[in-house]
Amino acid sequence: MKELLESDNFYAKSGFLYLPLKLDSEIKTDLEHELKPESLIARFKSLDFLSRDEPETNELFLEKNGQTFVKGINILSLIETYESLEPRDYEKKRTSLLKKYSFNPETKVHIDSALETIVFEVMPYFIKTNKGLERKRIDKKGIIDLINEKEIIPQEYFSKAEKLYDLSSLRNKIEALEKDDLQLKLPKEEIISPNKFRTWFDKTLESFILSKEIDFLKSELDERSELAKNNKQYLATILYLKDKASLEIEGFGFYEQGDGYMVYKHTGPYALKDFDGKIYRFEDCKVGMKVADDHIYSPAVLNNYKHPFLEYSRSNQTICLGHAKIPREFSKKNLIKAFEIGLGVILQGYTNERNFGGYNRLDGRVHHGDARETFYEYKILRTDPQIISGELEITNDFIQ
Amino acid sequence: MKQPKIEQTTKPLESLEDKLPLVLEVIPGQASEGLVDIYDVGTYAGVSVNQLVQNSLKKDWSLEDQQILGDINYQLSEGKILYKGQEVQSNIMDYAVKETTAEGEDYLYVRLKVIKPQEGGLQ
Repeated sequence: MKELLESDNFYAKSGFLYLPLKLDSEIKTDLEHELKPESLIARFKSLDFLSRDEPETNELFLEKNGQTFVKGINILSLIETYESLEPRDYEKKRTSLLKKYSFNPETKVHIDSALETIVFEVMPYFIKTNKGLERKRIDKKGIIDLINEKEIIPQEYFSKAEKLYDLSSLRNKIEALEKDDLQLKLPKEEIISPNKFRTWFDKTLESFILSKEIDFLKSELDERSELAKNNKQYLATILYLKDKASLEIEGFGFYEQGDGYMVYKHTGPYALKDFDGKIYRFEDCKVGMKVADDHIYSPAVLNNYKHPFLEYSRSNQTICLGHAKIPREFSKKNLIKAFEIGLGVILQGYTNERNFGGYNRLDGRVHHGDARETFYEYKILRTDPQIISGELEITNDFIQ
Repeated sequence: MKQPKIEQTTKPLESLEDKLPLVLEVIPGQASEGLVDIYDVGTYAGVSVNQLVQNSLKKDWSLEDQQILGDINYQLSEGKILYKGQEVQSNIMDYAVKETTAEGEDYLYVRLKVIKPQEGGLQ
């Protein structure tokens, strides 16, 4: 790119840079007639390099001041692709421009979209708050109310939210920038020296970068206007959650872990039925999975626990999921599906007597891998008061 | 809304099916809330649980409810309709409890889960 800009004169016309057709002067004299644009076009047609329908006035070649120029580069594409062609130089220019126009790096509202998905889209699936005839999934406002009932959000988060609601400074910044003439103007038709072209290029690239920044600020304005539609409590709550980085409501929760979040759901106590009809009581466990970099990791039981589909009695064990495939790309739908699979295996997955594929059968008759866990101490009677009252559910009672 | 009162009664609930409306909730998988459908007196007596669930799923649901409906249909393909971990049999009244709204109105409530059992094991 730099070499190009520092080479010979060009000819600028209709958005294209025409490059000089360079030939040894002797050859050039010999081929003087052949290098006329119309001759070149005829020659190219005979070689099938050009369609035979191509008009004779084709502007593939131009002759100016005795020099032949070949149509070369779309000038605006040089500007538009400069970021990819010369990323370091582009970034240097961009940074210096942002400094010049005093863009504050804090301009962007850094709302963590993964956090929002976990709290406002996945959590409502798993928490039960409505009673009576009104049994609907809780909405965003309901979640905010619940969080505010549970947590005391410090005043500083409301002040921060207040500032973010102030859209006027953002609007003023955009207006100020738009006053500058940022239209991308093509160089006029003429022979243009490398220096002159460089000057035009730098100025146009600057306008291009500023236009992109304006687009960014406008989308930022849209985003904040959208946020402003919700109440300030909403914004204060998510700013608070981002800093606090943990929450648990109605047995569903998350906490920050490394570069992502560990999201979990408590099962609550439950009972499993063995293939001989005997009942085993299990304490609550936390089924969780890490979400980081748009990736969902395998479900695990986070607390110290033993279960037919866990190899040992310890914490942070990946659940033995059989043939189930966890969707790996992070989204509301996929995270819910991953929970469905993980929780489903723990609560309803003990079903296959003939081909038991877990680590430890409840009756201790089959073990796989190094596992040797037993569950004798978990045994209860079907007439246990907790079962009779419905407090404890035999979650796989459907097996025969 | 206040939590509804759940009546612990020894009175057979069958005697109430001609007097009270029925609230049927169908919960997909491990979700906490499901699709709630209300059957007026006289519209559910003698109808099997499976039929009642199918009738509910065929109704014209709001956009919000359609999301839950989608979750239910997903679970229902190769899935089971469960009541407290057991596959449901024919009579809806076996699963009904009497509840009362905050306004003092009685109704029968049935909470069913639709689960596609997720068999665990080594791959």
